[in-house]
Amino acid sequence: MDENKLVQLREEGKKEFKQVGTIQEINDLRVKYLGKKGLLTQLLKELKDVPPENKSQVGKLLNQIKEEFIAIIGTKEEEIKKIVFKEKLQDEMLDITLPGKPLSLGKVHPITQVLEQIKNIFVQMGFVVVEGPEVETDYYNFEALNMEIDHPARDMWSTLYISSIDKTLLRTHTSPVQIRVMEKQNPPVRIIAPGKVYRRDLDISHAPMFHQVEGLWVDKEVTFSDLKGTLIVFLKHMFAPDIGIRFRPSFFPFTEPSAEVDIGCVLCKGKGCRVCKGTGWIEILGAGMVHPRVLKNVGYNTEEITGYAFGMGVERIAMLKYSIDDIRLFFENDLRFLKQF
Amino acid sequence: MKVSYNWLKEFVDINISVEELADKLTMAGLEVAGIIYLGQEVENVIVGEILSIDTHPNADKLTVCRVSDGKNNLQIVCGAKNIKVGDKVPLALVGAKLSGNIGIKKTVIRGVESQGMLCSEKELGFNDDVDGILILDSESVCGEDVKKILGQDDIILDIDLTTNRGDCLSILGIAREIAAILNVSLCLLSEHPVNSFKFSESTQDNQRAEDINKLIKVQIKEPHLCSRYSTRIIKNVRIVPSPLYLQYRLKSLGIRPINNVVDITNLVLLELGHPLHAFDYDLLEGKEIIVRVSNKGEKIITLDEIERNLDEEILVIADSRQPVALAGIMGGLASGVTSKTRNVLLESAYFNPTNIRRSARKLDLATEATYRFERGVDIENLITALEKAADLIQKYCGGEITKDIVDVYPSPISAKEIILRPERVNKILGIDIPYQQMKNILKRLGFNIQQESFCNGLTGYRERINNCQEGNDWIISVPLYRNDVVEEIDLIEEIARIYGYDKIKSSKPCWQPVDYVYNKMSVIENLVKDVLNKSGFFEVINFSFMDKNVFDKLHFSSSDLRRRCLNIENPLSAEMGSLRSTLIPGILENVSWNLRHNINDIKIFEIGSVFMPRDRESLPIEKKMLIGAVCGKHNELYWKREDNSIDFYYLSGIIEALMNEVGISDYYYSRGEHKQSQEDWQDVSLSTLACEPGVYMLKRCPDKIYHSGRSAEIIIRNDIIGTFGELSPLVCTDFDFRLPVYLVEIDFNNLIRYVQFEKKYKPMSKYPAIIRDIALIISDEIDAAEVFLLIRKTGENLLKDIRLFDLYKGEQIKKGAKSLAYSLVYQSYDATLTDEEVNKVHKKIIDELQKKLQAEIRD
Repeated sequence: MDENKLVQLREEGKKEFKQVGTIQEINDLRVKYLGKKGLLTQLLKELKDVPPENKSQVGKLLNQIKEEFIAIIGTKEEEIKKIVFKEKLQDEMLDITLPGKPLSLGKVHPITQVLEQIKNIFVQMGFVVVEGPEVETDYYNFEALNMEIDHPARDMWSTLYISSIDKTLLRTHTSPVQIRVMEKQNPPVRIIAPGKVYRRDLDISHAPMFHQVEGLWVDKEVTFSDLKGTLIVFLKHMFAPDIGIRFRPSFFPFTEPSAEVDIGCVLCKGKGCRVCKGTGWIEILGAGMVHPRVLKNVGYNTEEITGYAFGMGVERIAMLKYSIDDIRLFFENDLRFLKQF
Repeated sequence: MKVSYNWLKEFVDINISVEELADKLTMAGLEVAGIIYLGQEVENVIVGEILSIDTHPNADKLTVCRVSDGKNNLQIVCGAKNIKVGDKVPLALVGAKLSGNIGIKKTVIRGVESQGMLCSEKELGFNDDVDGILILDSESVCGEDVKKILGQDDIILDIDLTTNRGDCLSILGIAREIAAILNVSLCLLSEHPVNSFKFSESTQDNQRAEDINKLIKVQIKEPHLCSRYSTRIIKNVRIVPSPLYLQYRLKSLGIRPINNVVDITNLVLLELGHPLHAFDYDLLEGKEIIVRVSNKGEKIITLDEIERNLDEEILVIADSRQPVALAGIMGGLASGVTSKTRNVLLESAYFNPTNIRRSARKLDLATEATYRFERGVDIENLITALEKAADLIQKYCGGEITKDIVDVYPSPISAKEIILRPERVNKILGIDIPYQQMKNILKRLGFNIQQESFCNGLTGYRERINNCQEGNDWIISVPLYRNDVVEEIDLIEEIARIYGYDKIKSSKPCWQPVDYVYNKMSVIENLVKDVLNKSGFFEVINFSFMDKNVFDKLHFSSSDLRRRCLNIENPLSAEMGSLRSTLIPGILENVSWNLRHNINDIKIFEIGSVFMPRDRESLPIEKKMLIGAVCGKHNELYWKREDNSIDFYYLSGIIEALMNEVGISDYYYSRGEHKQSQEDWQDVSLSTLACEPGVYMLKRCPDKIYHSGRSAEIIIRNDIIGTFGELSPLVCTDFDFRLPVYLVEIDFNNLIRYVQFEKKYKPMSKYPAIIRDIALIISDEIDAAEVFLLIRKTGENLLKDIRLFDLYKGEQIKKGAKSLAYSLVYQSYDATLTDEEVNKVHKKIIDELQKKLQAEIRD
């Protein structure tokens, strides 16, 4: 075996390996040189015919060439794989700016969203959520709340009647729930009662059906000052920590002293605008100390037990929060409207 | 209620700005909703007298007037026709400003110089629609400010009074409040600077004055409905329009001037809050006033020229023949004051508030009088009002006041007395107001603190004596005009509101936990909302009203229970005439609305109550229901092609997800794993499965609102939990829907009984699953459920899951047949399954399918 021939093979091989560009070509060359019938393998087989004096020399060289080839193949393979991988990624490149697959999530109604927010704040303050019927008797809606049949205060609510004979009506407020709960439960009572209420009104700011949340806390030694504290915490959570809040005297037959609670106008920040009618204040809820006659009606000892109650309109709060100027939008249920919240 | 600031100042010395006053009133419970500044735009308009009127040399329609401003004579070109020499008119001088930001300059009109302008009410902004120069009272003094003499330099406070404060429905009432708030004294009527009383003097002076008792007899037949009736007669009055400034005073507070006598009664009503009525004395038959209830069938034509039918509950003022007025509501036309009236009988009375309110409602007649009477007027004040009016009538209408008054007051009312425990005030309010301050507040409000040391012997308070602490409790006597103050808590409120709510510190609520209340319904509601939201559904909220006529449009059968709905007695409209017995009309209206606005892909739901009458109970059944409606595509438009249209199975899948969320599975074993052991599955049929509480079944739905072949009832045991499916094409046509609409309705009251929230962990099998597919052709008549159940039963407990992955009907297979392909998942909890074990079961399944369902198995 000629040593020169081996050197030549080495050079040819190296040259060939240098030129390959694909894994297939590498494999072909691997077979050509290192395969069972490969050139190098053949030479190794022929080593036995080499005269003994040259044998170790040639053998050494052959092995050297083989190792060199294996190394070259390895490196070359890595190189090509890298290129191939790069090309593959290149080929698989997407237009990342095409629109994604739409994930259409629905939403609850904006009124429900606000209602949930209100509920959550009060639940954190230890109030329990209670519901009551929407069709009520005159007793629960008016009489038990200190409004006799011909009480002028009944004018505050234009009532929709189901049957004047049975004295059934659509509740004009959520306050009847107060009575229903207190009739069944002894103090302490701490509830909020969300729900639908009904009035015979229909215009840009009045709907014949809307939502209210009623609150009631009755226990020993509950004071007007507690009422203020609770509502201030609520309003700060609901609107903003620095919101202006004012309590002013008002009248509800079922509370006394009664208060109307205003917040600083969210739109003009108190400067005076159309929404607040120039006053800088917006009426947000009604409240007061539960009237002793109401407590008496449910059989509580009015000397020992005091309490406060409050009520608010959910639509009104939602309208303020979302700058909605027509209450009827809530009940059209236009998807273009509902998707905004 | 509108209140004049100038008028208030006649009663009370106001030392703060009107804005500050408004704020203080609001913070004391008299909410000032608006402040109206009258005549703000008008400047420099004075009284002028027309000295001469000449024709304009260059214009037919214009005149040239010489007008005196009291000092100088000015030349004014004028176009109006209603003026004559000697008229006093508003003269806008050069430099004057008129309504609408108009400035007056010296001008030359068609060659004649005009040194100002004569004004109409419209130009002054006093009245929007009256043209023609305003002719002022002839007594007006030239040069005086017109704004001032007409009271148009005033500020009007618009106060939203709460219904309890009947005592504030007057200038006097508001003035009283202001005096209390500002802690200043009230200038009482007897010392009133402007209109001091002269009636008695004039009566005494008048020798011709007759004794009233000879002129009229007053009889109260219903003393519980009319506690007091007083009257005075003024003879020989002249009925003419009131002086302009009086008319303006009424107009700016919202009352239309009629004639001098009526205007004066209204003026007194505004000032003192007591409604008066003036009769034409000569038209009263029998010279008799009888306060009685109406006889059945009696009628009266009231001043508004409407004939009204009366009944025995309505109180009337009658003469000897017939009713001449509706007591406290409105006078009769026949006996009213007209230009022919010479002698006037003035009525000042006190009527029972409840009766007035009831009658006014019955007659649907609300007036300034009813508004005050039903809130309760000051029974003591009634004579003052009568005398004030008489005085003014004499002043403005001439005539002679007859001697004395008739005053029928059978049982005089005395002031109420209330015990106030000052420590209770602080206990309720949660603060510490010094007692002296409390007393001060009460005194300012006109309450009299009678004694402070003992409290026995007061009738009506005996039961409270035990609570009385000698030396600590106060006995408060309440002025009669404060009929809203009847018990201790009312006094506490009075103290609180004058003390100032803003001064009551707020305390951080601290509390003991109350009993835990689990509201299962609301948990279910929230879960359902959540699933639907995640599936792209938007919640809607509809009114609880509906139109009864919608039932036919919905193709409800005549016996459908939902046709038994509750009607509203006084609905806003026929469309809102009933309470909804179903949520369907509302949501279909929403679908319709959105389709009309070109939104075709709709997924909406509502959770709300429906109402059903309940036999022998006054309150109806309120059932909480879910309604959902879908149509169009279930996903937004996407550039990759995929099947996106909504169909029955889309909805079916949603329902399955909903049910799973509340712990109910469909009959597919895989999803719920209700059957545990092999034996359980031996004799299971579809009907026995449906009896499982945790499993729901589908049955065809007979409701005509649906497409009969594409709708289902959701059934658990024997309860129909809900229905869903495609809306009947007939209903679609009626609602003008151009594409299929799908509905789902679920009755929460039925669902709640089967809801299962308890969850228990089951270990996962440690051994691999083997999946075998099976494809079969069977008759189209056989429901998928039957195939499923047969596979399930035969597969025993090695079979873990059955998944249908293909359904084919069409040319490739024979008509009336379908091809179904299932993936069967075999798995054991005990060991790795061998092929043999699986093959054995799988073969058995194939055999059964062939034998029982004549299935043709495809390879």
